[in-house]
Formats: sequence, structure tokens, C-alpha cells
Amino acid sequence: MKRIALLGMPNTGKSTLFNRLSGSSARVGNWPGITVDLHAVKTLLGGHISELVDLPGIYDLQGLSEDEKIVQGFINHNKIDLAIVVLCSSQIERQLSLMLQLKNLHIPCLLALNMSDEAKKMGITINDRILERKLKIPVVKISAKYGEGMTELLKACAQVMNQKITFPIKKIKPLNVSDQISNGKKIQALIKSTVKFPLKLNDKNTKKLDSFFLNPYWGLPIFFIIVFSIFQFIFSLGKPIQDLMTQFFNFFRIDYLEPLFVNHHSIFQSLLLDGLYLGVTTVASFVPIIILFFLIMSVVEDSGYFSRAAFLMDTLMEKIGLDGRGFVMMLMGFGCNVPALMGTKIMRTKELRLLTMFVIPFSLCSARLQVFLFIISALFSAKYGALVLYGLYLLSFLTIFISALVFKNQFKNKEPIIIELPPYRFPTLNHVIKRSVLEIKYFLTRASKFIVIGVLLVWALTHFPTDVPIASELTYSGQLGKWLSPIFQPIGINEQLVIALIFGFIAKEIVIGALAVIYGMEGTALAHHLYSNINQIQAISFMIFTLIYTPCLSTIATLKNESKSLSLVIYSVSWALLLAWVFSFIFYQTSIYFSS
Amino acid sequence: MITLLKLSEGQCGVIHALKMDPSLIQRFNAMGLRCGKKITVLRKAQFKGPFHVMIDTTELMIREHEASLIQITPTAA
Ligand SMILES: Nc1nc2c(ncn2[C@@H]2O[C@H](COP(=O)(O)OP(=O)(O)O)[C@@H](O)[C@H]2O)c(=O)[nH]1
Repeated sequence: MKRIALLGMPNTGKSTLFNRLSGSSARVGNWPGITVDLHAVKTLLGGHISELVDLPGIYDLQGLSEDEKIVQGFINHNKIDLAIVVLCSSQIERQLSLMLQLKNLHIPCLLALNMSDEAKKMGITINDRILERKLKIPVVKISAKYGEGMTELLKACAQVMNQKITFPIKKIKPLNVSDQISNGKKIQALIKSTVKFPLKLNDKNTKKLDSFFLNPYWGLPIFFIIVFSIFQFIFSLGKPIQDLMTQFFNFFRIDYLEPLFVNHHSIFQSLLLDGLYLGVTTVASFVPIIILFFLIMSVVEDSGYFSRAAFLMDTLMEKIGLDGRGFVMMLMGFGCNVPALMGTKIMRTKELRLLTMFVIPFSLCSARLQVFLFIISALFSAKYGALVLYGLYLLSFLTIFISALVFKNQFKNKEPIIIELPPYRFPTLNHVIKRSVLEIKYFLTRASKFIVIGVLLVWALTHFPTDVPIASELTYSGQLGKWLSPIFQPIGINEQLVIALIFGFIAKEIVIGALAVIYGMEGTALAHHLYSNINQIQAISFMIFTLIYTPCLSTIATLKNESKSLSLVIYSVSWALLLAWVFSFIFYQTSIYFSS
Repeated sequence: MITLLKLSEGQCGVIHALKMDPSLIQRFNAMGLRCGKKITVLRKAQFKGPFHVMIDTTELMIREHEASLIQITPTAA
């Protein structure tokens, strides 16, 4: 099998080309020397069954950024039969350097001048025949988005792959300054003889749109309106779908699963239904939100507005070590932490991305909101209830800012932060759908095992030993609660509530269900019981702790997948627990002091 | 000779030198920031925010720190 790699700078249309060439199924492979997953497909290309790999966009082969290291590792450890170098035609001048670097390694390549439609519109003409002769490499003009030039591209692929390899492929070595200069001169000469730029570039649309979206006065208000609408759209559409799914899962359980296992031993029944089935449905409940999220987000990303958002929010975000795109993801976290974490992928600076992932779990997501609404309506009047809820939202922002400030130096980025502002473009439906499908597959294959195991663990804690009532003080969870009580007493959280917190580890929505099991009552009865057994100070302290202590299992699983770093997860969870305790402690103790 | 910081909105200059170590120069070059190139400041965010600049067909957002590393000679638009 031949191996074909797509290489190019960021935003040149590599994934668009990848989607076009791959057609159907994508799979993730394993490559020696690489720690991340790359998109790859097996497909027939240029007359050979080939493995087509989409490498991350890079600026040069030598660089030290995460993506550059990935590509270096890939090139050094794998035999590449063909590298398709994709570049954006209108930016050929600065993008040719990557091509020359690859050619110097003797990797068989061909040059795809993508976005030729855009270049034509701008009035830029490239003489590809002369370029081909000078580079001694096939050059093809294509438009990945509109499918132009694909036959020529495939022909060129076949041509290169059928060539005899004359020179052995070299490993990547650092470029010295004189190489840099000579490459620079070579490019200047090439450009001069092959590319014609118009005297005045006509890209008026982008200019006009920018003077609207980046306006010093309404730029930010527009940004907030856009983000707010996106948020509303994703989560107000996602919520009813999620609720429907929950109803269906319940119905399926009661009508089909329970009768099916009715003759089995009760502990086995419980393991299947309260453990395994709960785990699987927890995973499934994220599917609609993740799909919706990426449908919308890829549109925003493809359109070019995301980098504008980065520009708009940069002044503020730089102070806390984040950037504007991170800010958008953080806001999305208020809907659901899981897709927000997955969405940080667009940030290609590792430290920036890690810090963003570190703070997102503090966003008060809709699942936490559900718990708070229940408790607030049980214990507070409408007027004070609203105040408490505002307070919790404020606290959520506060913990995000504090955490970012505290850890900003731990995650100090070593790369310069320069972000390209590409022209505004219409997204393609195909690309947007593919992206969502890919993300959901990724979530299902990577996170589900972790989530199901976590749910089973909590199930075991709350259901063993078997001869005592479920979730009672005599179970392991209750014993754990008792054992932890010296820690939880000073913040006003009793042992039963600790058991609820252990359940809340699975998913925050479960906390209310858990309280129902723990106290043996539901709905209004449970609300009344809470009202007469917990005072308001305790309730707020409990909510503060619930807000901060640890994101749900699915968030943790996603954090692990996306960061590929167990230490970040441990760091994050311990910091959250500490912060939760400190805030609850401060609140509880001062309130007790002043109210007595 | 001045740094890019000194340019205000709408002004342009020719890049004269990049004051940084070679590995960074390579990155800057790849983004279109190269000696001899004309650079235009399209807009500046308020409160010492980032710059929006244009070099040929490439538009970039650059923070103050990076802008301070770019030396230019001012030219007419
Ligand atoms: N006009 C035009 N736009 C394109 C073309 N190919 C890709 N794009 C757009 O360019 C943007 C970046 O493409 P993408 O494939 O995500 O680039 P990548 O970062 O290199 O993977 C998207 O908005 C695409 O729709 C093309 O041939 N012509």
C-alpha cells in the first residue's frame, strides 16, 4: 500500500481536499513516532490502493510548535510515497518555502495550487507550466471547494507514484541561516517569472465586511449578539432533543429491559440497568449536542469569523493568558463543557489550548443549572432565588478568571501569537457535515469506555455491600461520606449530600435523582424534605461546591482525550476540588458567623 | 527607522529587520513578514490591543509584543 500525505500551511484547504479525495469513510490509524491521531483513509488514488493522511497545517518543517513536531515525527518515521503540497494560490509567495523544504528532503511531491478560483477573482495569474519546469515537480491548479482540477491532480499523483525513486529520502535537519537566505532568493526568482499580481488587489468584500465586524464601536456588540444567538440556537434546539432521548431511554428501560431481566438476580438486574445502561445512555445523551455544536461551529470557523473574534477579544484575553477563540469556547461551556472542550482544537498553540481546556470546566453548564434550579426553587423565594442564581453565574466567571490568572504562567506559550485573518468564505455543507460526523465518532470511540467504567464504579460504591439499602449510609459510598465528614462538616455538607456528590461525578443531572434515591422520595416530597432538613446557607454552600468541585465524568473523559495528558486531568480535578472547598468554606463560615 | 508599534491606522512601511532569533524569523517569514515587504496597518484595537496588518495578500493579527520586534522604514501609502 502506498502512503500519500497532504501537507501545507494552515487554512490552505487541506481538509477540504482530503474530504474530496477520500469520499466515504475516514479511519484513524496508528503511526510510529506520533502521539496524536491523524485523519486517514484507504482509497484508490493514482491507480494504487493508498493510505491518504491529512497532516496538521504547519508553517515550516523545522519549527517547534506542537503541530510542526507532529509532522516532523511523521516524516522522519514513515515512508511517504507522495506528498501533495497544498497551497493557497493568492499567497503563493510566502507559501512556496514549505514546498522547497520538502523537495530538498527528496520526498516525492507534487504541488497543488488550491483556491485557484479565489486567485482568479483577485486577478492573480500563475503560469503553472513554467513553475512546473523550474521546480521539476508536477504543478496542478485546483479548487478543492468546487472540485476543479481533480482529474489533473489524480493524473499527477499517478505520475509521481510511478516514478522510480532516485535519491534516498533525507531526515529533517535544522536549516541554517544561509539555507534560509538561498531559499528566499530562489522563491523571489520563481515568483518573478511565474506570478502576475494586479496593481490593485480587488478583494473589496473582505474589506467591507471587516470594517463592519471589526468596527471599534459595534464590533464587540455584534460579536456578543452572534455568540449569544449561536448559543441559543445550539442549546435551545439541543435541549428538547436531549429530553426526548431521555424519555425514550426511560421508556425503553421500563417497557423492554426491566421485563427482560425480571427473572434474574436483583444485583445482576441493577448492574445492567443502573450501571451499564445508565453509562451507555449517559454517553448517548451527548450525541445531539455535539453534532449541533460542530455543525454551527464549523460554519463559523470556515467563514473566517473566528479569527475576527480572536482579534476583537484579544486585548482583554491577553491579560489572562487566553485568546478570543478560547473565550468563545468558554462561553459555549456554559451550554455544555464537552463540545466546548472538543472545540478548542482550532487553537493550534499548545499552551493556549491547554489553559483554555483547564478553565472551561468551571463554566456553569446547563446540567448544573438544572440541579441549582431544583434546589433554589425548593429553598428560596423567587426574589432571593434569582439573586442566588446570579451569584452562582458570577462565581463561575470568577473561578474561570482566577484559575486562568493563577495558571497563566504554567501554560506560558513559547510561540508568537500571530493569527491569520483569511478572507471571508462561504462554508461548504459537505465539509461541515463531515466534520460533525468525525467529531461524534471520535467522542464515541474515545470517551465511551471511560464514561461507562466510571458509571460502573459509582454504581459499585453506592450498591455494595448488597445487604444494605441502596445509597444508604451503610454502603461504601456512605462509609466514604462518613470518612470524609471532617472535610465536609466545615462547609456544611452532611453525609447524605456527600453521597449525592459522589453520584454527581457521573453527571450533574443525576444529583437530583440521587437525592431522590438517598432520601427515598421524589419531586415535591423531596423538595419539602430538603426544605425542612437543610438550611439556606447549607444549600448555597452545597451549590457552590457542586458548581466547582469536578466537572462530570464525560467532561473529564473529553479533557483526557483532547489534551492527551493525564497530568492535566489530575491537575484540573485537584485544583477544582481545592477551589470548591475554599469557596464553600469561606461562604459557609462567614455566613454562619454573621447569622449567629 | 522605527518599529511597527509606531505606525498608526492606515499607515504603511517597508520591513527592514526582524529582531529575533533565526527560528522565529523563519516562522515570521512563512507568515509573510519578510524583509523588504511592504506592511500596512489596517486597524489597531483600542487599549493597546492587537494590530491588524496586511502584507501582499495576507492579513494578520499581531500582538504588541510581536509588533515591537519588527523594524520598518515608513513609506507613503
Ligand atoms: N474559494 C475557495 N475556498 C476554499 C477552497 N478550498 C478550501 N476553501 C475554504 O478555505 C477554508 C479553509 O479550508 P480547510 O480545508 O479547513 O483548510 P485547512 O486548514 O488547510 O484544512 C474553508 O472555509 C474552505 O471552505 C477553494 O478551492 N476555493
